[in-house]
Amino acid sequence: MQTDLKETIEIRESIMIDVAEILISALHLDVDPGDLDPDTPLFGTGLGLDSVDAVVIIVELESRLNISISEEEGKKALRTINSLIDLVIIKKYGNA
Amino acid sequence: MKIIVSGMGIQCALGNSVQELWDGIEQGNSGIRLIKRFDVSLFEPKLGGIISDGDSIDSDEERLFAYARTAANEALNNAAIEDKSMVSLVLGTSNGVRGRKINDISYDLAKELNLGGLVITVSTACASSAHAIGFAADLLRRGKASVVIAGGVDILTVDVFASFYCLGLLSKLPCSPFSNPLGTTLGEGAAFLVLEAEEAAKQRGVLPKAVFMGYGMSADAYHDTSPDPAGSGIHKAITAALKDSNLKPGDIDYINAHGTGTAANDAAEWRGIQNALSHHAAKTPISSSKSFLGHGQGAAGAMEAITTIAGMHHNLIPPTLNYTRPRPFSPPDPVAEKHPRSHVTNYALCTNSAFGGLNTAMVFGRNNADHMPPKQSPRNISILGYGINTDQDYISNFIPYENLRNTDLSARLLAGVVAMILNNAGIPFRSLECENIGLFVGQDHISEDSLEALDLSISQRGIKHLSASAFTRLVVNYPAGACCRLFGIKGPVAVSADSPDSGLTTLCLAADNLAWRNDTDLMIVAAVDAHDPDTGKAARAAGLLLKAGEEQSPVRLKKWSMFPAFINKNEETLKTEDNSECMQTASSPENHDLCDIINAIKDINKTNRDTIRIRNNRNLDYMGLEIIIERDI
Amino acid sequence: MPEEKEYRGYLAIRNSVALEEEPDLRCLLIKGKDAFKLLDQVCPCNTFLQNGQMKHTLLLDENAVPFADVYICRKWEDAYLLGYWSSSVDMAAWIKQQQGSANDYAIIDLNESNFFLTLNGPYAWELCANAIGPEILGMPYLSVMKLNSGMVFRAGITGEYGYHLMFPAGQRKEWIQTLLEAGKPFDLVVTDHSARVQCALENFFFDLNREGQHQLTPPELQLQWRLSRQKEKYPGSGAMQSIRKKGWDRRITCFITKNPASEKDEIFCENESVGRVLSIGYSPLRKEHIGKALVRKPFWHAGLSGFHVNNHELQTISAPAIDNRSIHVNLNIDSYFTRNENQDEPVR
Repeated sequence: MQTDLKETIEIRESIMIDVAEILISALHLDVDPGDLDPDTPLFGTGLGLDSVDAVVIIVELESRLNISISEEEGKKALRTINSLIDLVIIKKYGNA
Repeated sequence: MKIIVSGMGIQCALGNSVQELWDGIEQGNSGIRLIKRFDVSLFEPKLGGIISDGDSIDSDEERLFAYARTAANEALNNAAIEDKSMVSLVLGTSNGVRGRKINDISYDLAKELNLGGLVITVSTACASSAHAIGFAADLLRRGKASVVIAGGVDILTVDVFASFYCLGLLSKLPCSPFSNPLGTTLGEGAAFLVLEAEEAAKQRGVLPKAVFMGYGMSADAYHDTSPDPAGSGIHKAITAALKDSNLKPGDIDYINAHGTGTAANDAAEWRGIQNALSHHAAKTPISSSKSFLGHGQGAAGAMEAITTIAGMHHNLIPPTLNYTRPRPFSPPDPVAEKHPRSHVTNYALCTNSAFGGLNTAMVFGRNNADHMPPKQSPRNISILGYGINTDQDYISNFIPYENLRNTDLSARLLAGVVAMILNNAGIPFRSLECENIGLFVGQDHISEDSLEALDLSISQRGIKHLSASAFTRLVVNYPAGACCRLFGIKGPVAVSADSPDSGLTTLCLAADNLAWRNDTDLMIVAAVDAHDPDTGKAARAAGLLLKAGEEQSPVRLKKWSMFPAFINKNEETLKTEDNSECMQTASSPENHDLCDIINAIKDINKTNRDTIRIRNNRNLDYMGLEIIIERDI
Repeated sequence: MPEEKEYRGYLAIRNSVALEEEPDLRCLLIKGKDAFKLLDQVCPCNTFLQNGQMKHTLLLDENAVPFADVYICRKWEDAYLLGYWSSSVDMAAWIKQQQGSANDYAIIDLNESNFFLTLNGPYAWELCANAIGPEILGMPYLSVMKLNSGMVFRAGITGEYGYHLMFPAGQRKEWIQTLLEAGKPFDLVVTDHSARVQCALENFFFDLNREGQHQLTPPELQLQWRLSRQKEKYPGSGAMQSIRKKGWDRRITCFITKNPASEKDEIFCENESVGRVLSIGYSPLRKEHIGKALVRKPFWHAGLSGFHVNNHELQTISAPAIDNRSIHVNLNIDSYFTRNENQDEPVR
C-alpha cells in the first residue's frame, strides 16, 4: 500500500475514535464504538440526534481537537460521522 | 364568582410602572438595548430587554428582590389594598437566584410586604407567572383566598444569556416575532396582578382593570426544549382556557402571543392557535409584546397580561415591533405597526409556552365583561395508587435507554415513580388514556448533576462554550416535562417549588384542579428531590394517582387545606370537627412529605380507623397544610 | 447518457418538487392490544415510539440479511409497517410466525384499498401545505398524520423533504389532479422511480433492489443504526450477535468516478483488488458517476483516492454525496416563490 494512502487511513481511523468518543461520552449514546458505522446519519434518522446535540458536537470538537468551526462549516458537516471526519481533516491538515 | 384584576404593577425594560410601560408602547419605543450589566464582549448579539435601573444593583439576589418589590407594591397600591393581612401571594419564577431555594424570593417578598395569606411558588420556566395567575384565580374561585397578588419575576443573567446564545436562539437584531430575522431577545422584569372577587373590590371603591375569564394548561409531550411543531399543547391549553372562560373561539378578538421570535416557537404557536380557534384565528389580530420587552422568562406571562390589559383599557392593541416581512404561513394580522392600533377588545387571549413543553393560555375580558361561569360542585377524589422510588435505574426496566439519554437524576427518579403508578393502574405508556392525564410535581431544586455539568463545562471551556444540553435541564420543570415526553402525558401539568412542603402543597393544588375543573379525570401528583442533605446522595420521588368521580374506591381524599400563616400560628383555629388522629410530617426527610400520605394510606388499611389527618409542621412561619384521607366503609 | 425524462425528474427532486406514484410502497396496519408487542417481536430496533412517530428499521432473516426496508409508525395504539419488500414475501404470514405470546392483534393490508403518491423535493412541504393544509407544516421528519380520509407519512430517502401520501383507491384520479394543479406554480414534475433511486443512492440510503440483493448484513451495509444494540431477541438476532463477535472485513462505501462503470466491476488499488461496484448512477448535480462499492478493510474508508475501476480513477467519499438544498431551506424564511432572495439571512 502507498504510504500516503496508509497515512490517510490512519488519520481517518484516529479521528473516528475521537468522534465516537464524543458521541458516547458527551451525548451519552449507549453504543460501542464498533456499532458506529462511519456513514451513519446523525440527525432525524440514523442516530436520531437533535439540534441541542448538534451544538454539543461542535463545542466538543472545537475544544477537544483545538479547532474552530464556523456556523456554516458546522451546518455542512453535521450530516454523518464521515462528514464530521472530513471537516476535522480539513481543519487539522488542510485540504487533504 | 366573577374574578377581576383590581391592580397591576410592573418593572420591565420600558419602565418602572404600568404607566411607563404603556407610554413606551404608545410611543413605539423598544426596551431592548445593549447589555452593559455583564460582559457580553464574547457574544453576538449583545442585546437584551434589560432594566437599566437594575444595572446599579450589586447582586442577583437584591436585583430579583428589588424588581419583585417594585412591581408588587405598585400592584397593591393600584388595587388600593391597605390591609395586607388577607393577601395571598402566588409567584412564578423560572430561575430565582442560582444557589438559593426557588421559593426564597416568595417568602422574602411576602415578609417585606407583610402579606398574611398563602404563599405559593410556581416554577415552570417561561410559563411560570401564567401558571401563577391561573392558580391564583382558582384559589379565589374555591374560596381559599380572598385577595391574591399573582405574577412573576426573573432576572437576566450571563448564564441564561450564554445558554440561549449556544442554542442558537438569539436574534441578531431586536427580536421580530412572526417575521425576520429569526430568534429571540431575552429580557427580565417583574409583573404582578391583584386578583379578587368583583364584590370585594367594589367595597373598596376600586374599579376592575379587567375580568379574569379563565385559563388552561397542557404539556406537549414532545421534546425537552422544542415545542411540538404541530402546536398540539398550545391548542389544548387554549381549548381548556376557553372552556374555563365559558367562551367560544369566535369570542376572542385579540391574541397576545408568546411569540418569542424563534422559528420553532412562533410556527408551532400559530399552528396551535389556528387549530384551537379554527377560521377565527386568521381574522384575529395577534401581536407579541416580546418585541418591546424581550423575553421576560418566568415573568413573561404576567408582563404580557399587563400589556394586554393596559391596551384593552385604552381601546388599543399593542403592535409587534421590528416586523420586516411575513414568514411563510404565519399570522395574517400580526399588528405590524409602529404604534398601537385602535381596536375594541372584549376578550383577549394570552398564550405562553415553556422549555419542557408546558403551555398556558389565559383569557381576560374587558373591565365590564360579564362572566357567569356555570355553577359547579366539587368532584370526589379517590386515591387509586401510589409509589415511592429511590432507584434512579428503576425506570430502565420500562423505557429503552435511547429515550433516557440526556435525563438527569431528578428526571429519572420521577420517571420511575410515574412508571410505577401507571403500570400498577394498567395504563399503557403513550396511550390515548395517557394523553389526558395531568401531572403536578413538587420540586425545590434543579437536579444537582445537571447543575454540576453546567458549571464544569463553564470552568473547562468558558462561558461561551457552556454545555447546552445541561442548560436545557436547568429549569425546575425539566423532570416533569421529561416525564410528559416519556409517557405521553399531555393534560394539565405544573410544578410548584414550596420548600419544605412541596409535596403537600402540590397535592392541594392538584386536588383543587381535579375536583373543580374538567380538564382531566386522572392526575398524578408527585414530589421529587435528587438531593438528600444528610447523605448528599440520590434521595427519592414519591407519587399518588388521583381520580375524580363518584366511583367507589378504598381510599379517598376527604379534605385538603392550605392555611395562611396567621391562622396556622393560632393552633386553636385548627381544631377540626373530627377526632381523627393527626400525623405530623416531620418523620420524613425534607421534601418527602408525600411519603407521609403514602404511609397513612398503608396505615388506614391496616388499622381500623376511618380517617387519618396529616399536617405539616415545618413551615409554620408561612403556611399550614392539612390533608385528611378516609377509608371507604 | 441519462434519459431526458430522468434528468428532469431528478432535478425536480433536487431543486423543486417531484410527484411519483409508488405502487411498490407497501403498508400494513397492525391493530389490537398486542400490536406493539407484536411489532417488538419482529423488529430489531426499539419500538417505543411517541404518538405520531416513525422510525426507520429493517426486517432480517435468520442470517441477519435484511429482506424488508421499513418504517415502523405509531398512531395511538395502532402500529404501521410502511416500506419496501419483495412481492414474493407474504409479510403478514411472516409476522404471524414471529408472534410469540402476542395474539390479540389483526393485520390489515392497506394496499388493498389505498394507493400511494410521493412528493419529494426541497419545496415538497410548501406544495403539500397548499394542497392538503397547513397542518402539514407541523409534521417533523419521520412522523405520521391522519387526514379525514388518508394518511401522510413524512419520510423520504432522497435527502430532500419527502411525503408519502396514502389515499383511498377511489380517490386516485382526483388526488393526482389536485396535486398536479397545486404543483404548477412549483414546476412540479411527475417522475418514475429511477429519479428517486438515483437521489437515494447519492444520499446513501439503502436500496433493497441493488445492494440488498447481495446477502449483506447490517454492518456490511453500514446500517447498524437501524438496529438496537440493547435489544436481545428478534429475528436474526443470533446471527447479528455472532457477526458482532466475529467482526466483519468489508462494507459498503460511497465512491465517485468520472467514467461510467457497471455493477460487479472490480475496484483496484494499484494491482490489488479491494472491492467491487454494487450500484452506480450518473449524478447530474455533481456531473460525475456516484456509486456504492463493497470494499474490504482497511480500504473501506471514505476520502481515499488512488483506486481505479476499468482503468479509470475512482475515489471514495463520505455520505451523503450531495449538500441537499432541503438542509438549507428554512420553512420560516424560504418559499419556492422567494427562493432566489434572502440568501444571506442567518438560518436558525
